[in-house]
Amino acid sequence: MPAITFKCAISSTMVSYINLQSKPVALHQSGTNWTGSLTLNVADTLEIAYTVTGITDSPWTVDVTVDCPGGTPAKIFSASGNIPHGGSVGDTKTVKVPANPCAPKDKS
Amino acid sequence: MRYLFLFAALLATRLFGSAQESLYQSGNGETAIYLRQSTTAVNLGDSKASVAYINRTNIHPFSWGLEAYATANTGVASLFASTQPKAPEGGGSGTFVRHYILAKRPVVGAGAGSAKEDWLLVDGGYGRSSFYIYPTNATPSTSTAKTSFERFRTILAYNYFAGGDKILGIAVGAERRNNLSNLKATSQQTVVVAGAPGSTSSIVTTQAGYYGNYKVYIAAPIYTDALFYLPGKVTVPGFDNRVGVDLFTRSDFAAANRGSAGGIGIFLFKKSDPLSSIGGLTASYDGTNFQVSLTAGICFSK
Repeated sequence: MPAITFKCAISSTMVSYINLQSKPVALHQSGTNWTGSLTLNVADTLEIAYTVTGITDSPWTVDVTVDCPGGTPAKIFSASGNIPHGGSVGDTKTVKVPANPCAPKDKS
Repeated sequence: MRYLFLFAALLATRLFGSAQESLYQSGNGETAIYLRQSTTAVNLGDSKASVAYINRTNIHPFSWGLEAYATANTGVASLFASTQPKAPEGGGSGTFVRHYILAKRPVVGAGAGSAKEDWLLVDGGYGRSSFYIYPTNATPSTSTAKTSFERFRTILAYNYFAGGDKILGIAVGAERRNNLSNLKATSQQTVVVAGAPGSTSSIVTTQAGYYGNYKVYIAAPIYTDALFYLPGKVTVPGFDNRVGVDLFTRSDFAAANRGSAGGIGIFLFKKSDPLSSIGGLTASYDGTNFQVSLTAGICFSK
């Protein structure tokens, strides 16, 4: 599989972190949005670890996408919720990455 | 002038749309909490508008920011305080921040937990204003020269965020100030055309200024803030915003102007973004004067 550039976007009130295949992604802050990207050679799975901090009860989102020629990015991973008591939420997930994330999905 | 200033400030928020000014301020615009949120702020209590930019990447321990501000003559929303005159002032400041001093970075990918983050920053600022001074016992003159004042400030601040609902801050430093707020706002009248003998009418020009013994001094401010967010389900009737309570002190430990004030502020925040204040009410007492001020903010994220 060729190298893929994964775009990461986290929305939260305080600082947040995301690692892809255990490599940290540099996220630049713009208001409540933290965005960055990382190019990786992956087999067919991608390990995503994230930690989001913020004000309790405020909303957060994590999105990992791949840009596609058509304009609409292909969604690789998405999670959202409200910051729990304590101010931090995190998880580690392994998701499948299609050989061509931008290929039209088979509707059959 | 005040309404013109407010219009300009609102226009500025439209034009720039990006800033970092903290809105957890007492009525005179002072704060010990430096948020890294991009906002444009208008502090009605201080008649102050500011725009700023901050640059931060999560994996780097350092960040920096810039701010520009302008203030109008006098606060428009000090509800119960005696009016303290101020001259219009423009200026800017820069901050340099080091994150994670005592708190440790979270382990990425771990489950829910207690968030901790702290930051230490240096804030350097410069401001300039010009005004007319009419000294006590001096004879009024038509050739009074304008007095310029240059404000310099260096503040060292430490902020600590913990548990998802608390932000604590302390700031110490030095600032070159003047005593304009203790002088009396006056205007000097100069007769251009005298009225006819026996007439009470004449044509005059007026020149606004400040009457009293003008002084410039070095202040040693120490500010503290303890901001607590109430749970999300606690709202003010009629509003769907988050509510925060700020306990603060504002002190000056310089020998010539030693003094201290304490107070409480209640702020409303955007529900989706509890670091963006939409306004607040602060009450402070310095041992002599009780002041209640309104702080209104208009916050944008880039």
